[in-house]
Formats: sequence, C-alpha cells, structure tokens
Amino acid sequence: MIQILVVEDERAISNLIKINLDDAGYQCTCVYDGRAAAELLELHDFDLILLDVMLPEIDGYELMEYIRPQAIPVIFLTAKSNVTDKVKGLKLGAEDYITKPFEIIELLARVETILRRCGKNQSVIEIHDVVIDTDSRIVTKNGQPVKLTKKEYDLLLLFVYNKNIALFRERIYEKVWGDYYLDDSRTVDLHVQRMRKKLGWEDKIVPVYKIGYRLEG
Amino acid sequence: MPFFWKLFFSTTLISSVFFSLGSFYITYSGFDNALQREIQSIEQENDVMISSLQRELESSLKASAYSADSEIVGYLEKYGLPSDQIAAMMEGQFYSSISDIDAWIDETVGSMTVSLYGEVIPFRISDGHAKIIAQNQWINMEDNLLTKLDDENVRGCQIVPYGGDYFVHCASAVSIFGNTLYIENYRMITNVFDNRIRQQRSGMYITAIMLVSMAAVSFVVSQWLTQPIRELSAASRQFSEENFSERVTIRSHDEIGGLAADFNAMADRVEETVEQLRDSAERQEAFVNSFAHELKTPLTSIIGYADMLRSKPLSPEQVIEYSDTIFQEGQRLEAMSMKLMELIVLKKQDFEMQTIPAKKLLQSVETTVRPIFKEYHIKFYARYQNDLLLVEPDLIKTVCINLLDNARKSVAEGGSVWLLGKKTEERYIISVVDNGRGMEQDELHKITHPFYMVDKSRARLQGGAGLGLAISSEIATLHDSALEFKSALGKGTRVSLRLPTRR
Repeated sequence: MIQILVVEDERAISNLIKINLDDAGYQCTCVYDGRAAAELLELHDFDLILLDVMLPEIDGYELMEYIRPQAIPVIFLTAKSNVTDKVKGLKLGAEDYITKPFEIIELLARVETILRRCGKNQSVIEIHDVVIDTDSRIVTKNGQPVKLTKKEYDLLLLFVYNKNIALFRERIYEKVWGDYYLDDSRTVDLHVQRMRKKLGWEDKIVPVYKIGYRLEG
Repeated sequence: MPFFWKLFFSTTLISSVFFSLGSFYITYSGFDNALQREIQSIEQENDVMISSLQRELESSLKASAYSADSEIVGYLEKYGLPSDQIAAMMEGQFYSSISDIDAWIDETVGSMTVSLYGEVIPFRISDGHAKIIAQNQWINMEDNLLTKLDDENVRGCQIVPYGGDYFVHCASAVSIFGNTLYIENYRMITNVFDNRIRQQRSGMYITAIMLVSMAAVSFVVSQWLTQPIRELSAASRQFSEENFSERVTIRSHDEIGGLAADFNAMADRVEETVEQLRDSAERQEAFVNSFAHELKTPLTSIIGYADMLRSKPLSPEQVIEYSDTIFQEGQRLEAMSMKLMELIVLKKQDFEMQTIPAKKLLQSVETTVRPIFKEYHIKFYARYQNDLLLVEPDLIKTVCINLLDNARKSVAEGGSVWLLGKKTEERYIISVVDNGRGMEQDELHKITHPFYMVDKSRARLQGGAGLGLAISSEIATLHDSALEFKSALGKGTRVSLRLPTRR
C-alpha cells in the first residue's frame, strides 16, 4: 500500500487531505509541524510527502533539505500564489505544487501523476471485473480485451482514480478534453455512455442528478 | 567635450594667444624704436651734410671773394662797415662773377668727404636734372625717393632693401643760389632687421616653451579643479545604480565644495526616503503574503469540505462533521475580515479625542473582562490612579481588552494578570502585566506585525487571527504613543502604553 505523509499545521486541511487520500486507497499519516515530520522521516519511509510551506518550527523549504537525501517525491502545498515561491519549491527538488484552495479531484490527480511518474503506482489496476494495464494501455474485462478510444480510456482512468466521487461534467470535460466546458455540450454524456456500454458498467458508473457521473466502488 | 578639456584648452589657448601677442608687440615696438632711431640719425647726418655743404660753399665763396676784391673789402672795413654787411654786398658781386654755378659747386664739393664720429658718411649731391654733382662711396639703389620730394616735402626717408641688405635712404632738397640741389645719404640698417628676425625667432621659442609649460600647468590645474566634479559624477553614477550609501569628500569651501555638501545632504535624504519606501514596501508585501495565507487557509477548508459534501456519498455523522468545519472556518474568516476592516479604518480615519477620567475608562474595562478571567480561573487585579485622559475612549478600551485577552491566553490556570494605571508627570501609563509564558526577545519587535503569531497553532485554537496587536499598535500610534513590551521567557510579560492627559 502506498504510504503518504501529510505535513500541514492546519488541522482542518490536514483532515481534509487525509479523508480523501484514504478514500482513494492510500495510507495517510499526518503530522502538524516540521520538527515532527523530520523525526518521523528518521523512522519511516514514505512514497510521497505533501508538504505545507508555512509550518511552525521548521518551515517547508527547510524540511526539503532533510527529505532530499531520502529521494522521496514531494508535492508542496502553498497558499502563496506568486511564481517565485513556486519556482523556489521546484528548485529545491519538489515534484509539483498545489495552491490552496484546491479541489479534491485536483489533489488526487496530482498525487496520482507524481506517483506514476516516480514509478510507485501499480501499473495494473484491477477494479470490479476490469483490469487496466496503464503501461500498455490495454483494458480487459474477464480476460477479454475491450477496445476503447483514447478519450474513452482517459475517461475510464479519471473515474477509476476518483472512485466514489461524483465528477461534474465541467471537470470531466476539462480533464479529458483539456478545454473549457460549454453548458449545452452533450459530448461528456455521449462518451461516458459509450465507454460504460463497452465495459458493461451501466450499473457501476451512475448518473448523479444535475451533476454528472460517479463510479461506485 | 569634457569640462576638463574645455578648461585645459581654454586656459592654454588664452594664455598662449596673449603671450604671443605680447611678444609680437615687444618685438615690433623694439624694431620700430630702432628704426626711428636710425631715421633720426640719418636725418641728423643729412643735416650735417647740408651744413657741411653750405659751410664748404661759403668758405669757398669767401676765399674767392676775398681774393678778388680784397682791396675793396679792406677799403670798406676801413670805413667801419660791419663784416656781414660787407659779405652781403660782396655776394651780389660774387654771383655776377661766377658764370657757371654748377661747375663751381662741382669744383667746390667734388672732393668733399663728410665724416661723423670718425665714420665716413656716404652721400650724393645731384641737381634738379638728375645730374650727379658729387658723390662719395655711393651705392646707387635706384629707388624713387627723389621723385617724391616737392616744395612741401623737402626731406624724405625711405627704407630700401638692396642686395640682401637694408638701407635707410634720406634725401633733402636744398636751394642754393636759386638752384635746387638734392642731398642724399644712406645708412645700412640690416642689423635692425636682423635683430627683428632674431627677436621673432626667440619670441617663437619662448612662446613654444610657454605653451608647453602652460599646457602642463593648466593640465594640473584642470585636474585639480575638476577632481571634485569627477568624484561627484562618480557618486551620482553609483546613486543611479541604487548604491545609496555613496558619499563624496568635501575638499574645499568654494562653490564645488558647496555642491558636494549639497549632494551629500541630498544623498542622506534620498537614502533615508528609499530606506523608508523599501521598508514600507517590504511591510506591504509581508502584509499581502500573510493576508493571502490567512485568507486561503480557511478558504481551503471551506472549499475542500464543501467539495466533499457535494461529490461524495457520506454518512449523516460525516455530513455534520464536515459542515461544522465549514461553519467554523467561515466564522474565522468573518472575524478576520472584521478585524482587518478595523485596521484599515484606523489607518484612514480621523478620530476625535475626548476628555475622560482614567478611573471611569478602566473601570468599564475591568467590568468587561473580570467575568472572563473568572471563567478561566485566572486571578485578575486592577489598580489604577485617577487622571484626566485625552483619548478616544472606545479605542483605548479595545486596546486594554485586547492586551488583557493576550495576557489571559499566555497564563495557565491559576496564573495572575494585572491591569495598572499610573500617573506620571506628563502622561498616564496603562500597563498590563502577566506571569505567563513570556516571549523571546527577538519575537518582541515582530509581534505587532499584522498576522504575526508567536505560536501559530495555539493562536488558531484560541481563535486568533494575529491582528490584535497590530490594531492595538495602530491605536497607540493614533494617541502619539507606542506599545512598550518587556518580556522574559517563562516569567511573564509587561505591556505599557503612555497616554496623553489633560490637566
């Protein structure tokens, strides 16, 4: 199981992250200041660290110095939105940054991306009766290959990584098509329905009234 | 062209022009004097010539007259006639006796030599028809001096270059027995011209030497004069590169020294202003950063939990828990925005000071806070003298409550907090003292910065936004005062405020 360390002094935010990462199937440990994080890192190994910049005792930038020799990927959490702070974090060796406030889908997507980039994610995902090999991009259902278009494959992955989370049509469109969603567009519905049908997941990916769709786990 | 070169060239140029003009003048006036002297002496010689000629002619005349008519003269003398009367009488007779006057003159002066101071004077005597009557050591220079003489100008002098030498040629027209004779003489004056050339040459040498030495001197002087200007310019350049600590040394008390002093004064002022601007920009940036952070923290929770509520299937307990978080963070945001408003209003508004007894003001503070201390089981003591304060009562009350609240938060259960009011000569001092946690010395200057929290997580738990002391400090400034902190870690803190009074 993938171990994630969350270093965030704000309890409410820390809990928020933990709840969502736990739901997504990661194992999450929370500490509330830099010193505690440094101490914990002596004892434990983690796959990923979510690190707040403004921390009591030892701040996030300083903590990077402890983390770097251990080669654990780091995502900065920062309230500062100016570019120099982001650059500073990235220069110190962070993989990515998330600016507060953030949406859950954003958080999960970044975590997922970094883990995959660092080769820590499983490349084969099994869910219900479907197996997805993210390396060869082959999807099989009960051992039988299912032919999906690129958009359908991206859609499937988005649902899989955000299991049990209602995905809004806007966000689906933005994530998969990489463009702004126009209100009257039926594109998302058409693609979701076609992908669902190919996988025989009409009962798994359910419509959420007025919002979009959710993959039930 | 740099000022240095302007100064250098102008001094060199001016001095050399004046010097060469001077040497030119001296050379030419010397030459002129020498020439005048030569002309004078040749005229004198000419005079000598004329008088010698007349003397010669007279003596010849007398000799011949005497020999011819000595008997008559002797007779006349016997009758007691004066000798000049006899001579006049004899002259007429003489003329009649000389038929060819030219021949006579020729005969008389043909062999004449005239010497002056042992020097033989070259001369020529000719008649009106350019016939030479007599000459001695004469060089014919073939000039046209004789043609220039007439009835009015009976004497003329002319400088004639001849055969590589210079001569001054003088001619006079003399009337003798009704005949016009031209008497000419000359002097060689080559040395006068040679002198002029020598003087010109040495003048040129001296001018050249002067030019070089003037150039050297004016180079040094220009360097010396422009040095402070160059320094000023270098300092100004440093300034333009934002190196505001640059100053110039003042070397003199003249205009340039004054300029340097003015520059330094300006530099001081600019440095100070820039420092202030930088400080205020830094404070501004720090404020904006802190503000962004403080704003985004509750917003992150609110958005995150709301996002969960809208997109996840949740148990009723989870819904309550998450909405409670949203509610609390919303309240925190509200509290912060109110405080922020207060801070902004304080900076913008003019407040009217009122006269109020210290006792009345502090009593109202005491009644407000006493129940809170009781609730937290903290001992609270209030001791204050009375005085007439000139303050904005509501604002001062805010400060007192704020400071007391901070004190409460820093002491543990069973600790003590004091509210003290003391009259001094000029001001009234309100102090809030606690025996709580205290602070490190290096924290003290930061605690009045907006959003600064000594212990952030604890301040959060107690509902602080880090704005209380910033507001209090602003209020103190409005009262022409400041918050004075004294603190020792683990022992406690004392905050004092000196308020204006009306007595």
